[in-house]
Amino acid sequence: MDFANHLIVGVFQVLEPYNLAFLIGGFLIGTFFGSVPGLTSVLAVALLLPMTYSIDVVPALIMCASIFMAGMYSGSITAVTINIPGAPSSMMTALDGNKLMRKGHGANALGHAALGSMIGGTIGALLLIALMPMAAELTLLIRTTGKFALVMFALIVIVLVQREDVPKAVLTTVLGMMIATIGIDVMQPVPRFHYGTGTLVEGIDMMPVIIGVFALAELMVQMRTGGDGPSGEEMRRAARSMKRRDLVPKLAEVRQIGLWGYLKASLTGYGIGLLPGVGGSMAAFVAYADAKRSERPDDILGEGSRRGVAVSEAANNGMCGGAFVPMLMFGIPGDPTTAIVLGVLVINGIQPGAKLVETQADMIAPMFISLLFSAMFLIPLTLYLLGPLFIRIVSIPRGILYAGIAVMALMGSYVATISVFQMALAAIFGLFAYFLRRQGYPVVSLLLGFILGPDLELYLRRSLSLSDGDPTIFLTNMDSLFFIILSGIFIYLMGILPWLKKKKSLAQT
Amino acid sequence: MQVQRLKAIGLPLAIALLTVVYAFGVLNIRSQFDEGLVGPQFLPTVLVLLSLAMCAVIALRDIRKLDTSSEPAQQADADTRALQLRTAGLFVAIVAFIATFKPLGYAASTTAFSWVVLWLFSFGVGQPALRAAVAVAVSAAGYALFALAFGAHIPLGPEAF
Repeated sequence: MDFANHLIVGVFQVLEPYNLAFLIGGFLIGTFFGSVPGLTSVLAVALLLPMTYSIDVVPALIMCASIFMAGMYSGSITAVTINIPGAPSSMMTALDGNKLMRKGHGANALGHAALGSMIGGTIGALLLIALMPMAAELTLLIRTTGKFALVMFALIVIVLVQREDVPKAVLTTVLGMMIATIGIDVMQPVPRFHYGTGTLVEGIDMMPVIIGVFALAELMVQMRTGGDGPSGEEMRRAARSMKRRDLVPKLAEVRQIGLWGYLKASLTGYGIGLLPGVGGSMAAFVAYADAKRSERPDDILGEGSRRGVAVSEAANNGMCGGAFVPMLMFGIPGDPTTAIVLGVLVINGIQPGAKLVETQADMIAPMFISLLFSAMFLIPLTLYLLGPLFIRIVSIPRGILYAGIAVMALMGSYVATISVFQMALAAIFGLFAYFLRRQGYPVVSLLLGFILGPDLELYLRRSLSLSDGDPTIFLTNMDSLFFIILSGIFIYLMGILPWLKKKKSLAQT
Repeated sequence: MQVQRLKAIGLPLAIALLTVVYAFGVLNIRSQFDEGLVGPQFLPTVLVLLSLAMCAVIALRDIRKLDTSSEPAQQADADTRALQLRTAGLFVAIVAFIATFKPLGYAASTTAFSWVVLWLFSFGVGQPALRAAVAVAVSAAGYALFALAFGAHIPLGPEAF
């Protein structure tokens, strides 16, 4: 059966009541986590990861995809209403969205955010579906040396994205890779770093790392910041000021933003999604900066522009489709959520790669459809039917919320392996990640280093064993040379050039 | 100033120490066959070097920042200290929960843990009955989710392990 047929079957699979419940349930969970400041869709997927052990892979992937899409969109709810982005990717939305809210157009801003998210998410998902077979073909051109250079390129991008502090990003990535080296070696049946203990011979599972880094550390961070969130009265006031009919954007406003405006932002988001470790915040930022360049005097971005809201949301939701491509083809996650989705695939014995489209398309096709349905139908429906309700729900007392998350996180790490040791590991990683976050270290790099480290080592050693230890193999093979040149370009554009500019401006002042 | 310096380099120093422990592990790796330079020890060795180099860069930079900073050292106020204590309390509660999970079983340990988390997040201040009821509800909801909805084995009491 070819991929198109799998997609048609996927539509019917998603519409089965059992799977549909996971799609809608996942979307509502994602919307809730995305809209509550401090909680993210990454946390939602991390908490639900242990449950994927006890449900089938298809509903698990359907749910992950809908959480991802919902979480990316719903950060705009509190960004617009109270100027606190529910998710980091909605920071740019807050700039204009909240200004519109203050002018009395809050519902309208939410409508534009939803429309932008819907268009961006749909375009991203359609591109993912349309280009997946081609991406699989291209993947076949990349051999062992190319895979090493590609993983190296991914790690370089992950580090360079943290422009504020590259040394800290390098360190956390290295730490993630160090954790991944514990256990049996990738090429030889020899244990490493077990220090005489049997439990470490098996290596460190992804689960305690994810639960610790994204759930337990988050709890500690929230505790330290006092778990600040919007007050109940603030949210009730915002909800009262919303009228359902205002949630639908006016055609004239949509025309003013323009088809090209939506399309460009969506494509920008999709393209940024293809880059490993970059994520929705960067997608929204780039699209917003691009829109700012072409702003009109009557529509200044940052002063309550509907275009600002629309492009930011179109870009961060467009990113969702792009982020799946490197994850499914090479096992290189495009962002933290897809890193955890990769965990779901691995847990269920699904290996990323070109063969995925040929041999296991029946499992990934429903996930693509879930991404598409979430963007096309659930974003507008949720906003229209549940928008005002969600604004009230996010004012739930923090204590109840965090107590529930703490129990879910710890029990989740227990039920995955029925091991108290895993819970203890999650607690250790949680404490470590908390200290890292307090000092401004990017913990996402730690997870991505943990995931990519074994691949980097495997492909490096395989390549060198093929060439009898001759490192020039990376320069003589076209695939690896391509990624080495690409890495050089990225290092220049994202590392050297900004540094030179900074130096020049310092010299001028 | 000394305290601030220690704070600045505390984490890189701790990571450097962990790296040294890791480096001892590199020495104990025994290959089963020779792969040349790039064997099972190669990447860990590179990682050790990178980690130590980055720790040194970060520590030196942070110390230099402190030396050039003209801002007076900020003292943590009472509220900040209280939040720091609560954060430490949360970690202690997590450790205590893990330690008591097997001896007490799910029902007792989770209810007590939920109660402590609620207390730490100042939920139900002056309403102990409400806090206790919510702790029981959270524990019951967790059981319903994992054991009933997803069919996972959750040992309610110590005898169920």
